[in-house]
Amino acid sequence: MEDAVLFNLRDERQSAWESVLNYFRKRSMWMLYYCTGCGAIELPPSMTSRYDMERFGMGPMATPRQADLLLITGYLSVKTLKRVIRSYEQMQEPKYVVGFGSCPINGGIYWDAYPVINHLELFIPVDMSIAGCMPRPQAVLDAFQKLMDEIQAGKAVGYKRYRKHLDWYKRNQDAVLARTEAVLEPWEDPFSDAALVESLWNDAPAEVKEMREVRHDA
Amino acid sequence: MRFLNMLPQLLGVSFLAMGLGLLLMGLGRQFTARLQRRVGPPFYQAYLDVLKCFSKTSITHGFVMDLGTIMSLAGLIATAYYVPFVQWTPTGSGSLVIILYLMTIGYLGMAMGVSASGNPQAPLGIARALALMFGYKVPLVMVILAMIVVTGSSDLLAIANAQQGGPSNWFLLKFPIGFVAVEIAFQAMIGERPYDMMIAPAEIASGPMVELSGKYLGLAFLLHSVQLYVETALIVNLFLGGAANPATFFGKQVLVYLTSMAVNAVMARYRIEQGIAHLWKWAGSLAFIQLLTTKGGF
Amino acid sequence: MTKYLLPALVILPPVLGLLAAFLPRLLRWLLLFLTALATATVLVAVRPGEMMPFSAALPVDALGPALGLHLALTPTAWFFLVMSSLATASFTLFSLVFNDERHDSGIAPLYLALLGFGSGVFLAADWITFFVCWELASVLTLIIVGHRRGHAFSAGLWYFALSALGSLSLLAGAWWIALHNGSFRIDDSLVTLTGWVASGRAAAWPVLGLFSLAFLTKAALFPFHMWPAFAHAEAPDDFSPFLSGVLIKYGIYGLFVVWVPVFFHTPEGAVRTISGIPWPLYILGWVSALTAVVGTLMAIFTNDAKRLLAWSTVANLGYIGTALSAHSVLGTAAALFHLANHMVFKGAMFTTVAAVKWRTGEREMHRMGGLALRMPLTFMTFLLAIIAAAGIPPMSGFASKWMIFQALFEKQLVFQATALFFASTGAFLYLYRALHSIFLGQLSTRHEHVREVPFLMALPMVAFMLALMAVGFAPGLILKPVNWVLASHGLDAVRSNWTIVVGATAHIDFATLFGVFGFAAALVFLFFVLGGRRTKVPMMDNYTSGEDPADWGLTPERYQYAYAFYQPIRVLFSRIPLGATEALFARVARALVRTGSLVADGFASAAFSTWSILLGAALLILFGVLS
Repeated sequence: MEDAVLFNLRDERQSAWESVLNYFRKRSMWMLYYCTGCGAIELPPSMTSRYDMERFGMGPMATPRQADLLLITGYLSVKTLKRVIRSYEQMQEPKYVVGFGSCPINGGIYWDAYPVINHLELFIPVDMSIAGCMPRPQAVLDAFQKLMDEIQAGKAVGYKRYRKHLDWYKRNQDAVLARTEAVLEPWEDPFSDAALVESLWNDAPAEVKEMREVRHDA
Repeated sequence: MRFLNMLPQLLGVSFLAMGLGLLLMGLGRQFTARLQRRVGPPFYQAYLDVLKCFSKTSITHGFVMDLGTIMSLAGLIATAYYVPFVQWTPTGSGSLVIILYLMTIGYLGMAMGVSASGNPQAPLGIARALALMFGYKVPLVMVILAMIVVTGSSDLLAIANAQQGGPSNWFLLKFPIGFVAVEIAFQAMIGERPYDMMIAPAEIASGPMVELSGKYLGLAFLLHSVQLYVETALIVNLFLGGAANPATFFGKQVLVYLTSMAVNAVMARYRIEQGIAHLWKWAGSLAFIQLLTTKGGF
Repeated sequence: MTKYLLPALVILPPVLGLLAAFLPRLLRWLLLFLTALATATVLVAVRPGEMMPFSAALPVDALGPALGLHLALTPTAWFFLVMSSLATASFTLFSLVFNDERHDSGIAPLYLALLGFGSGVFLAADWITFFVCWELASVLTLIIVGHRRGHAFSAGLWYFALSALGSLSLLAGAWWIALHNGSFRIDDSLVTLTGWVASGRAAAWPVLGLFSLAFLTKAALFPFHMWPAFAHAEAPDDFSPFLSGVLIKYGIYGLFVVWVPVFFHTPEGAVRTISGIPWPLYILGWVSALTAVVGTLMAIFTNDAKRLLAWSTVANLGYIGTALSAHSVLGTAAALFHLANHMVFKGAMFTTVAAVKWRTGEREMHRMGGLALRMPLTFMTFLLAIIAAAGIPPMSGFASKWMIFQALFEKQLVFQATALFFASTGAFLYLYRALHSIFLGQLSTRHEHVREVPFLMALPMVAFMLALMAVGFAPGLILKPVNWVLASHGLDAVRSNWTIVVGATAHIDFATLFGVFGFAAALVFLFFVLGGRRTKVPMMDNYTSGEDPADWGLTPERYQYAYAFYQPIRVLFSRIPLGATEALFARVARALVRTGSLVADGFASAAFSTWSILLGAALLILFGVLS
């Protein structure tokens, strides 16, 4: 199944030069994380003496301009989503997104909460998801290792998908962000409607769909 | 014609300065990690970081940002041409006034480039950096003046040559008070704790670097590496007698830098006015005493 | 023909000024520019060393020593005149376009007259001519600065009172000497004065003090350092470059003319020395170093672009004074060199600020920002000028600052050198602040449609840039004429050729410096090109912690850090009363105006009465000394 994805992206398959560059990219990942979700508490032990992620060249950065890696640490509310999208768009390519815990995958325990979005992949491309509520630092570091392998293999190309299918992503973003404007009458949460989400996915570009299936299989 | 002959040497020194500076950065990070009982990044981590930065796309806010970024690194590299490495400079001169002022064009370039980004955090960081510069330049210059009084030369080559013949001739022993003053100033010059208020990532979002991305950040990294090379070499030449071979020279540079990193690892950050006041009060008065005792009057 | 060249330089411009008063606006300014250009051309063409003395005595011999118009083109005068007339030609070309219908300050006729009297100050061969030209230049300056500006007029008044007092003391000093040797000629009186100093005659010091008071006031040295902040800042924008670039140098010229012969030609041991330097020079050195420090600090704390530059002028005169007082060939040369450089870079800075004000109408720095994108040429001029002003290589200012430091190293004046380093670092602070607040950061929405200056206005700016770079590359361009001046005073030359200068403790090849910087820049540019692709983004696309600025009503004006820029330093200096002297002199001025008004009894303006009081006092002193 993974081969199929690679095959789909064959037109952007990496050259030898690109693979050299990918080595540097994987060995020097600078993170940007907004500590808005619960997963933020797993990061300090991952960074400091106990698990020491700096041995992989990873470290925190202050602004999206400088960062390579966007961490979505746990549940993501609609309000935060707006900031996340702006930050993601301010990051420079190549850039990667890691979703922490169940919430960015399917909403987790907040699946029916009105201010929380359920499927992060509908709005920005996710390169790596870590299941669990919350994942322990070991799992976090394991995920980073896997992400490094994918970067080296040229498979972590979410940013290319985003650029290619910007229309689809923007449409989804607009659909949910429009709600952040003040409304007086009670409204229906479009994203709690499984049928609607499924219809959005049906519109999704083939590559994005396949990426989703890869994840669900894994 | 003489200038053309100089070109290969200039090229060599450029890469030497950047290479050694990045190595210093890597060693410093490794050292800090060991102090904190971590494994830490490999010693070549800084090279990976810079190459990664250059491989990324980047944003610019206009020609001033490009110009400033180029000017900054160019200024620092040009300074490296005047700083003796093993009693030798490619330009044949080690004028201290040139070194002190050429470094400034690096800072001006940096300041200009980041201010042009339009993010107010950047000039905020720069204002702090310059205010700090107000604090450390004066003690540094006073100690250097004391050396000029003794050696009768404002050429760093001559000052380093005056210390040949073993550690007993080092100015470290001749100017012990001045050495302490310059060490304090050095901590501020390279912007390590307790003088890291211009970067302050959690406070002003890394100040000057806030809008730097991709190759701009890479150039800023190189700027810092050359700055480390130049400033450690300055101290090695001023106090530690230069060196007879490259390995010893670099060894001394590492020693100077790691000392500062050790302080960095255990200190907290000053507020900006506390920082300047501290520099003037301690580094300044020590340097003043050094200069007064050396000169023996006004 | 050449016989009447010098009187023509002095008398023709005021006559043309009278004529200009009847001409339409454009022709007036054109006449001014052409006069300045002609002056510069003539002077550059004259062979230096050709004195061309001119003398026309008044047909009155009642006053004792012969009075009249005596002019001579000494090498010193030639140097000052060439430098200032070249600068003036550029300034007036700028003024030609600047004074359009909306901005016309109407000062062209006065400006023209000022050019003549200014030349007169440099050319004067006797003290009476000197005094007359000096005084007329001061009055004209006061009128120009206070023109159509009630507040500024009263602000500048006490400076003017001080200046008048200074020039009266100058006259008194000249008279004192004339009573002994029967001559008002400058060279004669200097010979006498040198003799007095050499023979240890007590009268020498009061006379020297009387002479110097005028020059110290004019050169804005401490404690007279606060007048440029008013005068230069309040003057018409296109006149400020002339004030700060040229006019303030009259004081240095005077100091140079009087002090250099007196102290270089007295034998060793005749004057008590401190640290190997005659004591008056040693005091002048510290006064100047203090001026540099105070000027710098005041510039750091000011928010008005023109005031900032005015304070910077004060600081630079501090450098010049310190160099001059080092009492060495190197120091004297460095003073002249820095003076010439200051004319160019300060002229360039005032010109660019005037251009910015011309386009935007703003002077307060926090109200501007981001103009580099709209006025790139103006920005480049300002950038090169501040590089020179901060003494950063490879621009011209570095060469002269390096020489100043060499002079101080030579005499081991290490504490003065420390003060200058302090000031020089501070200069970097306020210059960067000006650059940032005016040209960088966010572009205000009010200035969206600002355009670059027109061609004729850009022309002087380009000339300044070329001059800054050329002198930075080859300091010999200025040092050669400086050496002629030194030779005329019987001093050794500074060892230098076009690009290499030999100092006391080191030597520098400026061409190499220029070259290696260029090489480094080329190398870095290569890195820059090799790096990843870059995209241009709008100015408001910034890191804002993920917030969209539009959501919060964040405008470019509010997203700019420019006000209270160096607050931490201000906090540090909050206990030091930097404005104390200013307040003191303001009180003196108020008292003066009150007295003046009392006497005039509301008949004339305060200014008029003050002037008449001073004139009366002058006459009293004159006749008192005479009888």
